[in-house]
Amino acid sequence: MGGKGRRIARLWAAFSLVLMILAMPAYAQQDSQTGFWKGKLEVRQFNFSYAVGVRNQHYVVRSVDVWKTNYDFYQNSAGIVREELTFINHNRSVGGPVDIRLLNYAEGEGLVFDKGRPEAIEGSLKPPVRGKSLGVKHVLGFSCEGSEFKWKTFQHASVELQSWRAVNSSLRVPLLQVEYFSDSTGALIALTVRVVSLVEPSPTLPPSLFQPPEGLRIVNVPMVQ
Amino acid sequence: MGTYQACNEPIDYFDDSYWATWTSGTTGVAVTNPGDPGVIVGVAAGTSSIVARFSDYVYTYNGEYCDGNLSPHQGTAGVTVQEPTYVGVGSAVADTVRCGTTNYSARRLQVPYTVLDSNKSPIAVAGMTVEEQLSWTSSVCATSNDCGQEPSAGTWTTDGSGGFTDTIYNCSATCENNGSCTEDWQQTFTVNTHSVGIVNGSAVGTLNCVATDCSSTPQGVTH
Repeated sequence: MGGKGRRIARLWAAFSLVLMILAMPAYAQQDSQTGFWKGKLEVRQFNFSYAVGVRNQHYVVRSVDVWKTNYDFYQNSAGIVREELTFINHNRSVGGPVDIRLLNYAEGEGLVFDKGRPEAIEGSLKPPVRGKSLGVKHVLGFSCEGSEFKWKTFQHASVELQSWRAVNSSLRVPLLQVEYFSDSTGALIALTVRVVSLVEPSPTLPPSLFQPPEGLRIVNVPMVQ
Repeated sequence: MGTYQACNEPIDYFDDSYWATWTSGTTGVAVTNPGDPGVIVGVAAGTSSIVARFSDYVYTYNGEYCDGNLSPHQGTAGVTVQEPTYVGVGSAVADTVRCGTTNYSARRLQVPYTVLDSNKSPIAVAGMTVEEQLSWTSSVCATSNDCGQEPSAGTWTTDGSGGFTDTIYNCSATCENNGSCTEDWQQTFTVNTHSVGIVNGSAVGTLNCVATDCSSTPQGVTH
């Protein structure tokens, strides 16, 4: 190839490079004009079970079962999120409510209740410790800042939470959360993954959607996640 | 299944179900339906003989050629009809489970059940609907709604061995707050909407008394 051919080749390479840069995702996240959002959230909890026979202590069953819960979520311009349960794959035993979650990210408080039942739980949305930065990741086109939190519960269980939230956006719902829950002996009891599987700007939503019903009997809990 | 044997051929088989005449020896247990040949419908628990009568050609060599003659045949088989009468408790296991995404973990009791017939034999059939009924009013069990969060009654569909698993834990908000409370109730079962008893080892009863608190493994006692 002569000198002219090399110049053409270099020009072509430069042109290709410009094309590649233009074709790369810009991560210019499209924010909601109204501050309202809607989407879907999927929670998968892997329960690691080392189950011992009640009558025969030598009978051991090792298994992992998966609790699946799906929510539709709606967010208003004040940073309040309503999550509505759309799917659950396991029978509930004695347990807290799960149907509707009103999460006020501006105030850092969450309220959870079941449709048609008076009991509700309320608690902080914030982990009880300061987080460590995990840097920046792009998730679903949003520039997200990651934080890692580690704390002990009153039962001496260890919780490790990695949470990714959009920055420079009005969206307050964490786009990805991964959590490890280990008992006091260090045995992994649960791995929980919360993923926003769909999110889009929404037209203005009625204020009533973000109000709890009257007459709830509220029990305070340390934390609502 | 009809059987044909030609003079110079091996045995051949043919499905004669449609052309056969089906009869049940004990129609109080199982019946046949002329409109649906070969299908046996259970009526009540028990055993019955089922006879299928049909005609087939039998070929014999007469010295010159194979000569077919239509001959009557019949086949007999026994059927057993099982009726869900009990649920039998298997080997229960206990472990620790995280209560959803809260900061609390509870002791969990997992009780495997199998649907049994009146002879306490397993009914290995998938797809039976098992429902539990929970009550906080009982003349047998000590009940309590101290935790204020009554569980919802469960529904299961049996697997291929007629089994299902009940899972019991106390993840109430009181427990999550490092408090203490008890949630105790009476539990009964229906299978395909019919009430059934409970076989738990040597104990045979009609209900379980279930007791939970914030620290112990839940317990179920059959009465």
